[in-house]
Amino acid sequence: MRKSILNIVESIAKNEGDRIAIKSTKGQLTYEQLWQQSDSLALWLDNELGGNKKPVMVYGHKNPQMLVCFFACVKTGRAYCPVDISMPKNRIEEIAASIGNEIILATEDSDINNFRVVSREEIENICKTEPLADLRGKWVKGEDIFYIIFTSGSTGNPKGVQISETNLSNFTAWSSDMVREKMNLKEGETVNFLNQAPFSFDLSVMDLYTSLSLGSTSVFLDKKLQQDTGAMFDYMRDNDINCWVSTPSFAEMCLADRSFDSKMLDKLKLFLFCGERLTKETAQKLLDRFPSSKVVNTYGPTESTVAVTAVDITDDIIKNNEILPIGVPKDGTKIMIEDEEIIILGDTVGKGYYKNPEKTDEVFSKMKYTDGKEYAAYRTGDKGYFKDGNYYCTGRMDFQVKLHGYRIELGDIESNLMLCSEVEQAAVLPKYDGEKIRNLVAFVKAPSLEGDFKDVKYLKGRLKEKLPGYMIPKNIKFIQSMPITANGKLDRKKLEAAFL
Amino acid sequence: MENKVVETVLNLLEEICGDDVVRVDMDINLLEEDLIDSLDYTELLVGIEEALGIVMAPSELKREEMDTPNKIIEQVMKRM
Repeated sequence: MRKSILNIVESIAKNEGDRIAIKSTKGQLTYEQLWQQSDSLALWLDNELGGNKKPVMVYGHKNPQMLVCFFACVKTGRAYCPVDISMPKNRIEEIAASIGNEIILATEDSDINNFRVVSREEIENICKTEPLADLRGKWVKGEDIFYIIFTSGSTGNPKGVQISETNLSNFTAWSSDMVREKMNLKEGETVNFLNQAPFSFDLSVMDLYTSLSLGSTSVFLDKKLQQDTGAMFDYMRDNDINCWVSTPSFAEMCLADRSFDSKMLDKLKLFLFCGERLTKETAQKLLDRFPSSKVVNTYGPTESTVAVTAVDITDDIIKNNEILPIGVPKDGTKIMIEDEEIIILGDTVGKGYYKNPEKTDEVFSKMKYTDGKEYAAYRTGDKGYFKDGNYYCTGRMDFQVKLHGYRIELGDIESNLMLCSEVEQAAVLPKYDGEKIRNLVAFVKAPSLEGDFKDVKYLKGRLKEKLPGYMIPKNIKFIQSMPITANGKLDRKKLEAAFL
Repeated sequence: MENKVVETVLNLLEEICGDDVVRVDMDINLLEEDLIDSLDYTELLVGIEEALGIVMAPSELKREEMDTPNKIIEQVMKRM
């Protein structure tokens, strides 16, 4: 029978509890500590919340306590909702209100109002208490929601993607088998995973839960380290990273430094990419600098649990393709292409958006596959095709873009710009560098503003109150009037041709 | 020589930052004003290498040493 992630971690904690689950600049955590501390916190949490079964927001950054909080929530039968410190206060409060639970667990200082925020000190103290009982019967299982991750929504309101315990276990069964196979791991052999993405981005699920499934170590790379390339490289080297998980953008940033190669990270054997397009240039550079490592491209939306396809990128694949393939679906997943759109069917398709049946019905459904069977299905809105044994993804059908791995609805930024009383019209466009989005440019019609740098700064400041940093357009251009199409819509093509 | 460095760096910054404010205020803090990010730095360093033949490794440089147009020019001049 398929084992749940909780069963797997419990058995490691009981049999080889001294193994390190997490390393970070803020300390480390063994499997035994993870298991016991989350038991203690779960008991406390369940007692405090009683009949309130709502999900629990876990706010913070790359602190080992984050994982203790995640496990504590699911051990009480409640989903957790990870929120990173990079989110602005306003959006955090929107998510907190949408979740609607009075208690928030926070491993970093926060200024969230109107909720009972349990601080790191309190969490640490609770974790020190002896877990007198275990809540086994209450654990999140089967179709229960394991986590909720909020993504950008086109109307300016974020949507909470709900992933069940079954979804997550199906994903990790596949991802851990893949890592085992690609790295030729012997029975019981463990690896050190790089954990780069913030927990509010589901790319972090790939390394964190795959690592736990393999009884391995997840090495957290916090924000501060990521801003100091020299110190970051030292940290990666000192922690013997074996399996790299990041967005392609992050690897590109590292590649800019010539010292980033197999001499520096001689234990690094596997690169796993997800979250945005992997370009041929980046893949080629990695293969050149790390000649004995494998580079694997994967693809998948948050709505279908991190990733559903994978492919080894080889010199031949790079040579024979214009864009890199995303590979073939995992066991349990089927892919259909309908009017160019990629549709994912199968056992990792999530349970829709939290408290948002309208948006859920637009993209989640049940569909029949060519084998005559019915599966849970998700319309990705991604454009793609199938050729010579592989699937390819060419971009988005709508105005959603990926920048540095983050999913961004351009409409979300536009709506927030329009909230400024000076702005009459707003349009946000991606600026491309070859096949990749380089940054975002906002065009605004704001006759009452002069349009100098002080105004740019003012509008960016307003946006920052509402949106995470990665959604703030790099540039804001003031224009006299917006080009309009025949049916009265903003003419993005014309705007792009005129200004970008 | 200094003129060439100044012109090259300012041209690159204007292109990368997408704003001519980098010429108007050469002490503007590019990081604080969100005019430059990690990938932009990469592009800047590659551009400097192509135009002036000077190799600058990101791991050798602290961000505080490279956060205004003037400081960047100073770092390039040091390596001429």
